[in-house]
Amino acid sequence: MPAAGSPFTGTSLARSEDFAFLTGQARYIADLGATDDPRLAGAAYAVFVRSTMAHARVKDVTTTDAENAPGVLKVYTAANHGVAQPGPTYGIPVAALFAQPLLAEAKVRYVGEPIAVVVAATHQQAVDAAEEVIVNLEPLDPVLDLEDSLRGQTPLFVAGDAPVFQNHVGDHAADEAPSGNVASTAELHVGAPSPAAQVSVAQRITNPRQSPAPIEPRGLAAFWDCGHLYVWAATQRPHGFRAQLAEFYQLPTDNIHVIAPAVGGGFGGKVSRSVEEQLIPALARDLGRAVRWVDTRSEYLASATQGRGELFDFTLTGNADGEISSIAVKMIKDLGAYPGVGTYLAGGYTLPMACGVYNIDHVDFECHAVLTNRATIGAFRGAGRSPYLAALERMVDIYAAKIGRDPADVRRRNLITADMMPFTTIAGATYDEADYLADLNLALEIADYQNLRLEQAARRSGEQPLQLGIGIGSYCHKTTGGGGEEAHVRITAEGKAVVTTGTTSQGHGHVTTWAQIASDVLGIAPHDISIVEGNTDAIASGVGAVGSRSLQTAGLAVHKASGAVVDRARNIAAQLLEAAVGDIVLDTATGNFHVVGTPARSVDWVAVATLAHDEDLAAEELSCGEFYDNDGRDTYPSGSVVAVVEVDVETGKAKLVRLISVDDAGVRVNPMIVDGQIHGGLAAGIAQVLGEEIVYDSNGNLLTSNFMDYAIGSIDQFPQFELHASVTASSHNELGFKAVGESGPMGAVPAVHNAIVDAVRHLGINHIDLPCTPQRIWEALEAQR
Amino acid sequence: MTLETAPASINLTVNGVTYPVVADTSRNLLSVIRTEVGLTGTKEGCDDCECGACMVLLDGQPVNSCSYLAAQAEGKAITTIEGLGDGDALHPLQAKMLEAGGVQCGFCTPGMIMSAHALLERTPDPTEEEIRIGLSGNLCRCTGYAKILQAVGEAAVELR
Repeated sequence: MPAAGSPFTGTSLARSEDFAFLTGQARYIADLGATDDPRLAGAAYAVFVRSTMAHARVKDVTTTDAENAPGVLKVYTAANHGVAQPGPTYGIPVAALFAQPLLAEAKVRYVGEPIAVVVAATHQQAVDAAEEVIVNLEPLDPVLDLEDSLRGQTPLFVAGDAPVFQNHVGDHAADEAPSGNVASTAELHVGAPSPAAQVSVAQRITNPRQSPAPIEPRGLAAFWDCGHLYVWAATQRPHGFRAQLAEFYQLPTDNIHVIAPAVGGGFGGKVSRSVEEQLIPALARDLGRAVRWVDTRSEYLASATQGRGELFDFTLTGNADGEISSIAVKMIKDLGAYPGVGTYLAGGYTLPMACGVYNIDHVDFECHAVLTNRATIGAFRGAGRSPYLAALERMVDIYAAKIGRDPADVRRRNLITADMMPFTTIAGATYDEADYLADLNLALEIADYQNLRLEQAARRSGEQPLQLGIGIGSYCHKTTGGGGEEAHVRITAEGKAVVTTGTTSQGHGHVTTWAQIASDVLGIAPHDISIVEGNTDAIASGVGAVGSRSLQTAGLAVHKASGAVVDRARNIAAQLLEAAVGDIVLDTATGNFHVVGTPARSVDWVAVATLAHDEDLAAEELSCGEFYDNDGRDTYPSGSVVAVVEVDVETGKAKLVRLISVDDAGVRVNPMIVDGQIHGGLAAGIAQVLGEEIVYDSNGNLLTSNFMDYAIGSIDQFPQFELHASVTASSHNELGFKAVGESGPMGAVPAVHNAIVDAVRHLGINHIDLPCTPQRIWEALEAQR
Repeated sequence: MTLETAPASINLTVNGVTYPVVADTSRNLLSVIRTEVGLTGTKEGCDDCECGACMVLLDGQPVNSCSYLAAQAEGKAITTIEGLGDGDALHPLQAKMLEAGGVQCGFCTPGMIMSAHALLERTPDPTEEEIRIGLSGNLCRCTGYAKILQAVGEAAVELR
């Protein structure tokens, strides 16, 4: 079985996982039934009763009518769910006082917070019965403004609010006294202001909330058998979720089996840290049968974690020639009602990116993460980095305008250059090899920047209604966040390979990518390599698909484990060829082992595997597991995006007409898959600029509770993206891999945002907050007329 | 308030096969196809006619099955994603999606393909703009639509 076509790294193979998706055979959480696993036979359905108020005291919850409704098995509230909540959070150290109870107890703190849950034989019965639960709420003033929350005049949590933790374990900072509504603080003060600096620009910039909004919402099914918990979950983190459940249910991890079936997109929205996901197993245990829960879209938008939610007071200082010397940022991060993943984003992901792609000598950074009466903030594609980098890129344009310089020239002057790499910024991040300047210049060249500026000048002087705007977004960003992944490679008796990893795909194309990486080492064709992932019983450890980490961790582990299997196979080949093992080589182009220098006499994988699987001979087992530890060597994918927009100055409507993206994602295993990741990220970023925004009214009611009001981009809103692959191998790992999953929004948000402001700057407008809806642009224009 | 509904016997013809099912008259076509007929390729992404994941063809016309009563579909030819292609042989739309890389998480894919199928039936030689309009009722969060656009254009050429 020679691997014709090798090496496969760098080849756009069609995805081997796609047949099931294209034909409707892929099994997602809502599709699973007894034919998938007999444990799911007769699964009951859970439907949550949720708060209709942003902040209220729970007076009473009446479940009698619901309990008597047809098909209802049981109705649960805080009073009877019977779970001894072991700790305040799920792996996130925060004050115990801020913990979210599984079902609301004394108070509710966001619209959508679970108060009760109905379990019934059919989904429709559970939906109908949930309507019969009567919840009596006494409204309290909501805290929605970030500065109000920071001032802490209305603390959202007071003593006595917290659930009683009966089996508190772990290393939570549970007993630290919280200060008002602040759940975490991150600060960095390094360097000193330049005495030569003469120009400072200051701007308040907001980055509104977005929902990850995968097209498949959240979902989970659970079943217990003899103290063993089985969970099927639409999750990005099967092993991480298992660890949480182990702590929560006081079980050894070996007693918990988490399976991620096909998962319909994640984007940070399926990291499985919600109370709903923690609670469903308890209901299954209590009822002695499988219980399943799947969000509706409006439930998802109201109660799943959201992303973004930042307020920056940004000051950038430089000299009159365009040399930036100093950044000062006061940031408030909206955490929503309960501290979640958002709690550590500022310290873990924003602060290290304080300098962006620039060589800056002085940073004053301060962030307070505060609680508000909105849904909890978690991760969303580019979490912690995209909002900050977008604000920084906005500031570069504002500064360039102030000193009368071209924004491209200001960037060129301040970019960290290729000869400085790897480069450790004063914020402490070590950027790996890249040529930011070359990538920016290439993006500008593809855009035909100078001619665009000429056309813009012509339209301005002609006072045309459609004004042209050109925007740039240069980026690099921290990925991985440390850690590693494990991979196992096993050769079957037929000489094929099975690769198992702890990370798992929600559309990323791991199956094809891992097969390509393994093939290049094993010399076995990719279609003869099968991939197992999303199954905690299949491999001991795993982190999951978060932080653009899979390729640079699991990809390296697959490579390493494949190499280990080849080493074992060489021993067997040596026996077959009656040669010294030191002389045996594997020709990966043919998949044959031979003595070095004599390829004519060889054995293939089938021969080697046949011997290895012969029980009588008890030859070496062709199965190896390896862990790849990135040892803190995170990679920093980078690039530059140029956006061209037309803004109708009569209506305020902005239209994106071109988008050029030059991205350095390191060595690309499957360029087609990499392009697809960039496309999706660009779309999410563009949509955020043009209109995608989670909106709450002044009472904390969610106004964007469906896809009509919450406008993720549709196919008629994007131009043909103009991509260019810039490939600089990273020295942070031996294969030169970087990352790509979150790159899209990093450059797209500032590029499109800067382009829109650029289109109307000559009319006296310095800034428009996101999203740049027609109304908001029109209001900015009106203010100048 | 619980809707007053009644179980009804309905004959649904899905992908050329007639399925006699019993379902409440309030039930939507999506849930009956998924639960009673047992074909789960058609997905629910919003239950509100906004995402297109539940798109099926009724007598060749694209319909969001989440917002169409099952009882109304009696007597009509229903086509779902399972009705395209032939065993291991993919329909050209599916094949071009595979080649172009138009699939990522796959959840929107069945609905997207059904909408594209309906588009190419009525507009065999679509412009890029016509493809965009024809698929504007199908949301995808993964792909930015670039490769889907490419795939549908290439499928149109092959199918002509």
